[in-house]
Amino acid sequence: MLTIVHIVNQFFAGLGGEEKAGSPVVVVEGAAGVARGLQAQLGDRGKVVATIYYGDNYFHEHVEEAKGVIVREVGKRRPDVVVAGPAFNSGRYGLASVEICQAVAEELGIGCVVGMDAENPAVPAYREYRNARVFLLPTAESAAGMTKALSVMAQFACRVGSGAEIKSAEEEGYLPRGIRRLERTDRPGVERAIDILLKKVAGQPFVTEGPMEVWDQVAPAAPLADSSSATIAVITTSGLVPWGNPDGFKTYRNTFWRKYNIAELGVLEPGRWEAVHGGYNVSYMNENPHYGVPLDALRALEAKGKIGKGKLYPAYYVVPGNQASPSAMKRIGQEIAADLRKEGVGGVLLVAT
Amino acid sequence: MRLEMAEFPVTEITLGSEFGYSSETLKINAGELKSLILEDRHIKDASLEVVAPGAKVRITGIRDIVEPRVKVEGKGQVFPGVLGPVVSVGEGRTHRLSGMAVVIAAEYEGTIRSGSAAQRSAILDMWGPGAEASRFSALLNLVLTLRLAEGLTELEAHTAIQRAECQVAKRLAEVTIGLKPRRVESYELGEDGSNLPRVVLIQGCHSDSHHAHSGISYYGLSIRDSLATFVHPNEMLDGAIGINTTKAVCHHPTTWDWQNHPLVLGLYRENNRRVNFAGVILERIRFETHHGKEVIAHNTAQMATALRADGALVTWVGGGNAFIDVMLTIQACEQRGIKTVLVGYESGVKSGVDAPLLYYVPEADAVVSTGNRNSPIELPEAERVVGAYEEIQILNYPGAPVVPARGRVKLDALDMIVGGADIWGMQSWTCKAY
Repeated sequence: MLTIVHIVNQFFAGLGGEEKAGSPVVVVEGAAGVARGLQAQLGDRGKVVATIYYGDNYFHEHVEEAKGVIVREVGKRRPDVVVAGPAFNSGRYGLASVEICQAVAEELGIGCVVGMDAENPAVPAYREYRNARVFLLPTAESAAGMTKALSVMAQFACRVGSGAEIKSAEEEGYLPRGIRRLERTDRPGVERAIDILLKKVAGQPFVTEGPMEVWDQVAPAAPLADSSSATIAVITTSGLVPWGNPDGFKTYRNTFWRKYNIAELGVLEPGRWEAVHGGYNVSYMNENPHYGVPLDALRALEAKGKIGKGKLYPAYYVVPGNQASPSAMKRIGQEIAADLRKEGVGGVLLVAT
Repeated sequence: MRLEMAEFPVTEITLGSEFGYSSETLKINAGELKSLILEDRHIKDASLEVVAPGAKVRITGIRDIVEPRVKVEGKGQVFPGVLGPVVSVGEGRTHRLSGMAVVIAAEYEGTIRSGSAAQRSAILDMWGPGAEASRFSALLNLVLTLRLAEGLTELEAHTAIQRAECQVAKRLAEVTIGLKPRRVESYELGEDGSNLPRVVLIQGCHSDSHHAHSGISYYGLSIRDSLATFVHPNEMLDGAIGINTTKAVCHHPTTWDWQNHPLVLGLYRENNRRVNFAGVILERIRFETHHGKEVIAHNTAQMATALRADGALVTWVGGGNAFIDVMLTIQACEQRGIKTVLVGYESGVKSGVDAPLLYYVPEADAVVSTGNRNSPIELPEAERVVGAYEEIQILNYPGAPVVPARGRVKLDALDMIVGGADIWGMQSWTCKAY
């Protein structure tokens, strides 16, 4: 008999509507409110050992605290699986459910099943997390689809809770989380490609194997009013490092960054520096490291007063940019930005290759 | 232009004192073959070994793989511009030894320390998970291991390796001259006046124009900053396209791949049945400015329009920013009403959790994914190592440590395995969304 904890908002706990949206996290033993419907669908395959509910407003105003309480309460009971929602088309409830499932799966390692409409604004957040332990099942738009939703969720929860192998999103019916696994399929790529091409040329529907993603746009910071009064630092993705590569950067897929001292230097001498980067011909960089960190030009600007005296930051930042994972680079960018802030740097020259 | 490809399957290879072919067995005069190779003073020694699928053997130091072929009728000879003069190939009759390949290995550290011009060799397991990951483990492989002269430049090493493998490939195929093939396939582009949709293959080719060998050659000439060019697929079957043989990695084709291009062969299979195969556009990619990328995209789409293409299969060679050229090409084609399907591998890091592709355009709505190159793999201990290296460097950076090649090897991606990425959809690899 599998054990389940069902996590719902105040409305579906049977507490009341908007006026109760400020309720804190409450735990009730056994099945309460909509959890009773889940229990009915589970039959004797599983037992809802607790129902946890919270006010939608309360959750979004006290996210860390609410998650903390929920994770602790789930942790005490160690269920086989956690169920959240169904949130249908409610954005706040959907997002709270996604956040809760992410916290439970991450911190307790317990699988979670959450239900909501495929168009719910919380779905992108679920995809962003790419958590292999959290499964979002699409439901109807409104609570008119409650029975069907609970039936599907109960069935899936039993499979997740019993440790059954969950196959691909297309085969199982959950929404993909953007995790892609190398597998064999039934036909060679060339045959699949020609079939899809012929459908496309004939104007017939087809299914792509590689959905397009959309990158976010970043608005650049405003330009410096006066370059001579700011501390200027250089960041380079050329992979230029002291000769011998003391920190062991790879030529691709790096996951960390370093700062190297240029305080006393007026130029970068060839033979003292080398480029570790698998994506371009590094011999030019090795012969003239100024392609990666234009120190000679920057010192000249310092002498002319375009960069304030002593205002060139005494180290340069580097990560070889070749073939890096976007999420690693995002993190590295944030870490470098935090360091620049801490060090009082006002402007950055980013040298890419 | 019609090419007849006569197939002679090989299921056994014996090394002895004479050449011969009968009942799918290829007999090789090892001494004569070795003498042929050693005519090149850049090669100090050569050894031959036969490795069959299923053997617990790890082959190391792999630089290239080639299929034995020889022209018996028609103008020119295989590997034009490399083995012999620049004479147009792709018609008449060519013999091929199917089911086997020449795997050429060589120890070579090169003069270039790191970066894209540095040499790289690959490995191949003939059994287990490593074999599963590569299309080359299913072939009966004749491993030719060279000991090169000291101090060769990258171009000298490439020239020696390529000449040796092509000479061997041609010499082996010559054994079948005058014999009756198992089957003959005819290759001819689509008929005029057909109602079937006209389809081109747009083949993106990464080239480093300032390297000694750019990475891709046509009749032995490195393709550098060229615009797109029309190539007859039969030329590819006759070995007109070559690679830089100092580098072998999972996501670059071998010479064997150019000879056996799955998208070319697939379009030929459907030719005059469901498609009218109009030919191949070789599109040089990895232009180094965005301007260059935009121009090649326009130029390639323009050529596809001139070929009256209704549709295009689009694939590429390379990694990294060359992919932007490919996506812009898809965009340019679609904007001209040419329907495209992209065939290629994904690069999602961390076992597919990160973004699968480097760049996106909304017009790329039809993609066939041939798997993920960044998949970790653990290779078990081998019984024997064959090839150039007893120890291998798993990570490719200056000062990276070496490990014994025979032992268990843990790789964080498939890069080091030749054929590790199913670049052109020959096999049934894909990525499924979880």
